[in-house]
Amino acid sequence: MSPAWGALLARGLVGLSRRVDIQPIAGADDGRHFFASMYSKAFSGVVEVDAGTSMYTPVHRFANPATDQAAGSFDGRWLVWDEYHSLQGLDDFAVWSWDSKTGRLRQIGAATRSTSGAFWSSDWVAPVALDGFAAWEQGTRSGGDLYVVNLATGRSRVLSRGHPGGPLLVQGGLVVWPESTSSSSATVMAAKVTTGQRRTPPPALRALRGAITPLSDGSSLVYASPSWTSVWWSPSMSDAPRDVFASPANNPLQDSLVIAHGHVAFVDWPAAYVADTRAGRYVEINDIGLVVLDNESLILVRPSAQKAAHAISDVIFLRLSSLPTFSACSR
Amino acid sequence: MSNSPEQALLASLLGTTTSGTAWSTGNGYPVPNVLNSYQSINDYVPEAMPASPGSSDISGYESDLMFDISGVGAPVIGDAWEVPNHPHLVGHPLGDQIFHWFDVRGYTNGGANTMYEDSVHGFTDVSSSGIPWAAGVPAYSTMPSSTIAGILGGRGYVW
Repeated sequence: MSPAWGALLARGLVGLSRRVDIQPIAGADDGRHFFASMYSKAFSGVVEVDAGTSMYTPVHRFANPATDQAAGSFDGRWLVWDEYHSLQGLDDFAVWSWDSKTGRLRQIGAATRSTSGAFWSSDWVAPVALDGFAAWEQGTRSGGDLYVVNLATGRSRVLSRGHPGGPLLVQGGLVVWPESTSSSSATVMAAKVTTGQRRTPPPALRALRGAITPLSDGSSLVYASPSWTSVWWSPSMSDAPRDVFASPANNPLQDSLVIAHGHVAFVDWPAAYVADTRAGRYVEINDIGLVVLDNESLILVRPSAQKAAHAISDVIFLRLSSLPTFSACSR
Repeated sequence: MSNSPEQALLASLLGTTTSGTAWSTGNGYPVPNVLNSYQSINDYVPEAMPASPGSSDISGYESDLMFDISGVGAPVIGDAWEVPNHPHLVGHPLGDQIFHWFDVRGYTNGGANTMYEDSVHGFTDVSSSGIPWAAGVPAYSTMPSSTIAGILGGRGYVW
């Protein structure tokens, strides 16, 4: 990492992160704000943080800060997130949306329980949001349900019951998901988010086999290999994905893939890799525990020196336009 | 280890609730206590791991792992404490805090790598042919034992 990067990381420190525990959830797409879980004496819950001033705006207070945490995404207007209520797993959750234009908060979903009181097992994947719609999979008695919600109206639609996998939202108003047809095979399904009418899935998704937790920014695609030791990327929903990174030590990557605006990032702990996919260049940043991307910014979190619950960890907020030149990719 | 007691009975004996299964209680260590009640292959004992393990903690874990797997033929049980921005088990979201029991089934490279299985894994095995994609927790994974020791830090393992 060059001296220019070192200076940039020092300048990007969010002062608030030196005083309270803030865990970034998503960028706010404006090059200045981001959403986070915050734990402090004054407020614990989901907040919007101004990275420049370290002021924050409460979005939703956690009912039980000792166990509640959040993960989700922002589509440019709506923040959508899972609020998890247990530290023993991620099956007990409620799904919330917040309109950044109007400030309207709405609960749009919740996990359900079996008669024994235990929550059905769901994919440990946060809801996705794009162009005013949110989607997620959640466990049920018969396997799982696939939900799509119109965030403007709050209207919820179940597009699949049985064995859907985690969905992707892609440009053109489509939700795409894998549907298991037996224990060893599945079909890729697609539907219009507005009507639920079935459509032909995009070629790159239709051809996927053995992808782990694929993510899309609407137009491009990234996912991990089944062993989590390599990263695959496709620039569009028409191009075949190709491998763009393999862990040098063949160790599993952390579950931290992100994609936005021509950039892909992930953590091979304790280093983060950020790639400019259009330029074919990347940078390795040492001592990073988490990375978040949006269309305007890159948000990095340094791991605390000591492992602890709600440890104070430096959050670094950088505008993508301010980043120094990356190194050329060899793959 | 062919004994197969019912899940509900084990949950009761372990004191498992929706808040999970404790590492220790006022009555001792529920996991090794219950394990020792239902098998005689291994005399399980708890081994606490400091929150930030040092080299002696890691080598101790590797030694215990090899002893159980190669010497006794019994799995080691890990009690993970995952905190945001620090290493997580494979496929566990890096931004979340999670307590999670998992079983260690083997090792490679003289104990330097730990082979484990994860009950979070669902019914979908994406490594088999025909599955387009799935959520990210594999049934079987291998990680450096030093990383596993860090994940166990603040709780421990039963061997």
